[in-house]
Amino acid sequence: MLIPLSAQTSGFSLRTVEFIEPTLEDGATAINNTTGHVDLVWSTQAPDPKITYELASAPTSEFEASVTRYQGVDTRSFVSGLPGGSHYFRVRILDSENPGPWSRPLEVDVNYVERSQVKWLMALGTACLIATTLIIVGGSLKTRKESN
Amino acid sequence: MDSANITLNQGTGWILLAIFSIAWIALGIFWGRKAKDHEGFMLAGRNVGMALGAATAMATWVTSNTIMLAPQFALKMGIWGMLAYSTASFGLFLFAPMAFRIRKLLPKGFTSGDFVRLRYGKAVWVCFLLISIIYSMAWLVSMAMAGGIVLQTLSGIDYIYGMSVILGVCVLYTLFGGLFAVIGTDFVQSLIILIGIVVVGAVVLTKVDLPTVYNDLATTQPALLDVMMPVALLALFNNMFFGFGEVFHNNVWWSRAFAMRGDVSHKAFFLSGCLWFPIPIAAGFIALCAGSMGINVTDIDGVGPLVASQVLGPIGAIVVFVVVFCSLASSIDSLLAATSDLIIQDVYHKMIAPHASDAQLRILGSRIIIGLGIVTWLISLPRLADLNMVLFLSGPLVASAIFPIICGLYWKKANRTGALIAMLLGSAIGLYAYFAIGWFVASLISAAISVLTMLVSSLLAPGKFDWSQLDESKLEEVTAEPIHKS
Repeated sequence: MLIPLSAQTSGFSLRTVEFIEPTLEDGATAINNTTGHVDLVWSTQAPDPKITYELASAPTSEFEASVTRYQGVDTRSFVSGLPGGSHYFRVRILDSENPGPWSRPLEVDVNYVERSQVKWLMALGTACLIATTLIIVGGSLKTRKESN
Repeated sequence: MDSANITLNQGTGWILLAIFSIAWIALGIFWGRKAKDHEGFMLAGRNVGMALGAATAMATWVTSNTIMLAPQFALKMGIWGMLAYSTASFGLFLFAPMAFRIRKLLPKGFTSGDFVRLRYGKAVWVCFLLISIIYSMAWLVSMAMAGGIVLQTLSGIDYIYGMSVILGVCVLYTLFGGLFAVIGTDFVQSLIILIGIVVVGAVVLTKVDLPTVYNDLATTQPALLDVMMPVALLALFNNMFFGFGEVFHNNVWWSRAFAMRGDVSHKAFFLSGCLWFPIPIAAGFIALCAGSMGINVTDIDGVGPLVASQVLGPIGAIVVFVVVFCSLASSIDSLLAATSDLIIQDVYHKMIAPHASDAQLRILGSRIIIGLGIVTWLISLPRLADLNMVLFLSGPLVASAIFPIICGLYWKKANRTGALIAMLLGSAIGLYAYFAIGWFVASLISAAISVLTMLVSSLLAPGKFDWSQLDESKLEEVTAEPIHKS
């Protein structure tokens, strides 16, 4: 990859990390999510397998009560088990002497299927399960009876 | 902990691959010698006993998806995710009494397509064949992909090489031995899988502290412990109906019902369900420990093998490698054999050449197995989608066949129009739900549409089906016409 001279000499841009996945839809400011899990991928202008990164998350955009989710050389992390609501992620290059700047925060809004819809669908599932069992068990008992 | 530090030595991976490839092919040739005619090749002489029957059903159902998707389910949906995957065993439990009924109604049956053709006629049969072949290809592709992914995750063997070798080995020994080879190798593979899973599960339990795992999940992944997690609750039912659809319709299971002795088939399926039930829970639990052990998951498809190999070290990686290879082989061979039977019997023998000789059918069977292998290889080559997507897209299709199958087996009133509409409408609305709501409701909605259609049609226009029409050996005495037209 060709890196602009200014970036190479200043050393600042080389240490800037950005999320490249998931991508925002046009005009959106947050990732809309219905499953509670997200596959985060990030990159820097000068990728190097020896670079150590720090991935952090928080429930607010100010990153109060921030939690470090990963520290290491991977440039990808699968995050799951997110409760409903907004979650903010950021990543940076980490070394003992001089951590790089944080990336722009990525907002993931988790909106699960409505509880009322879940209850309705579960009732439907229960009814189908009962129907399946009744047809098979009832039919089999009748078959046994006929065989005997 | 980084994902890149955990692979088995690539040379060790190739050695293991070579040893098991040679073993399966040799065993396939050895057992395949028993197949003297086409029926022996297809149905292993219709004389499979309890031990082999239960082992082949269990090993076939422990697919690469069990080893790789069950951990995915746990990591995405927590406790309910593990249980959701285990509900697929309910399909085997309910198929146990169905197997008894199948043997009674179709004593000389060959395929699930035979039943649908004789029970509902040609239009429903064509629709059923389409669904079954699409599903079988999705299952084959997902397993071939899983083979490539897992070998790459564990040993660094390139995806394309790993996928090609596993697929090639399965094609070879299925080709030589038919169902005799499939059932024989399944027996050995089921023993290896069971021992491997018990060993891995026991060692993982000694290496992790359960309260720590719980606390870590509660802190960083709280939704995984939420008993009301919406996606997980829906996945529970969705996976159950997907499993019902897979088992009830697919020729993999029907061919085993025909191959087993009549007095053991129902017991063998029930036992295989009992043996299978805890496996996804054990595999899923391993994935839930990833966070506590500081393992960064970069490839969700390979999370189970990844965590197991990290916890157990190189020896554990070898165990996982062998278990996954066995689970892949035991399912790919079954699917190759059963799908080939479906195409030969239902498409070629019934539609194209009703008077084809035994030798012609046997030669064509071999060609179809090779063809299926090549098509699967070509589709798997680019690794276009994740495993979840490949497999669950076929969920609504197979779920739509649940009620036409079970109502057709037990109700005289079930009619062909209802069965056709149930399959078409269930598939269409289920696929719409897949894209509009999510994969976690698609099979459930498809099954609901299917049951409603069958109930309404049976009430509005009840049929009066004569069960004796399903025994084709009696029909052949009356007419040589291969397609049922009543």
